[in-house]
Amino acid sequence: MVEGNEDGAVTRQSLIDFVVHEARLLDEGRFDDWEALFAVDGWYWLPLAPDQVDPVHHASLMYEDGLLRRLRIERLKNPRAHSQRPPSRCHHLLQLPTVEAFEPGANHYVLRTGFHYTEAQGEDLVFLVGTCFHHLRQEAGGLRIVLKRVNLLNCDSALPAVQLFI
Amino acid sequence: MSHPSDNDLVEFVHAETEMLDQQQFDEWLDLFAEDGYYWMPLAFGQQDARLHASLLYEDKLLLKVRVERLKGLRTFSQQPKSRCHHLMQTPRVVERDEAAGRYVVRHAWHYVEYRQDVQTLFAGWSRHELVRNAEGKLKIRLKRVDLLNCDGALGNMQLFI
Repeated sequence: MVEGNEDGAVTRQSLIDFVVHEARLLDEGRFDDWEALFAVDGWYWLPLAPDQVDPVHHASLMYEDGLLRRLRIERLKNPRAHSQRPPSRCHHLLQLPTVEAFEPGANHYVLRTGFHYTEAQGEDLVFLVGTCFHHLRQEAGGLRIVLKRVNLLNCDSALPAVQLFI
Repeated sequence: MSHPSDNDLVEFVHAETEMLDQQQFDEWLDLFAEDGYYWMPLAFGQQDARLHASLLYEDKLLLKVRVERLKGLRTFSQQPKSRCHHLMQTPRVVERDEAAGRYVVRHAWHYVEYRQDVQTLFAGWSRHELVRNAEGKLKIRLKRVDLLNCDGALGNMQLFI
């Protein structure tokens, strides 16, 4: 029953719990708590191309640092964000995450999670499918996200507006 | 009487869902405590089942009526019968009170109901509040089913999510 990871050694289970908890924060609309899971130098990345290697010299759907994520979060809270009347809600259905890299020496952990993502607003549902990679690091306050990479199955198709975070 | 492990609780929720997909409704009903409820809120994050309208708020008697209806030969809306499928995220034990014998398990799911060439997809979360009865068996005190689009205009749902 670990809801986050405040202290103690990193285990495979604590990594998996972290990823499940992260999705739950998004589903519950707790975006400030979600943002706090990122390292100060952490990135949120949605590549535009399958197997895209470079987020800097190639266009992406999203490549957001803390400043940009916080800007988006503040927008969602703003009563004048007309595109959020009525507000959107999201739902993550996660496959059991697998630990792809477990390197305590390098303080480097990577998890891979298949997902279905559904976003609802009024009567409209947006349905997206993909695989998510969490690159994590243990810091004083617990595990932190260095990179969350979200590979959409249809990353290169014409996508509808996604209001929240996948 | 030993306490149920996390795995016991997770397996209970898996088995419960399996019964619904297999249409073993009598066995499913038997999983509920005598004072158990099945609740599908109408509002996102709804706190109150009594003073606020819900999509469903059913005690064991009402659940039994629904189960009997599904079996009835004159239930024309069930000719042909509906079928359902639950795809579950791995459930997690989120509360555990050994002294009271009370446990809460939560999971996200996709639910697909099928009837006459139409498949309808719902997305949501379930929260099982489980208790132990006098024989030490786990029973459902409250199954809370939150739909992602609980406040949308929803079509008919014939079976149980």
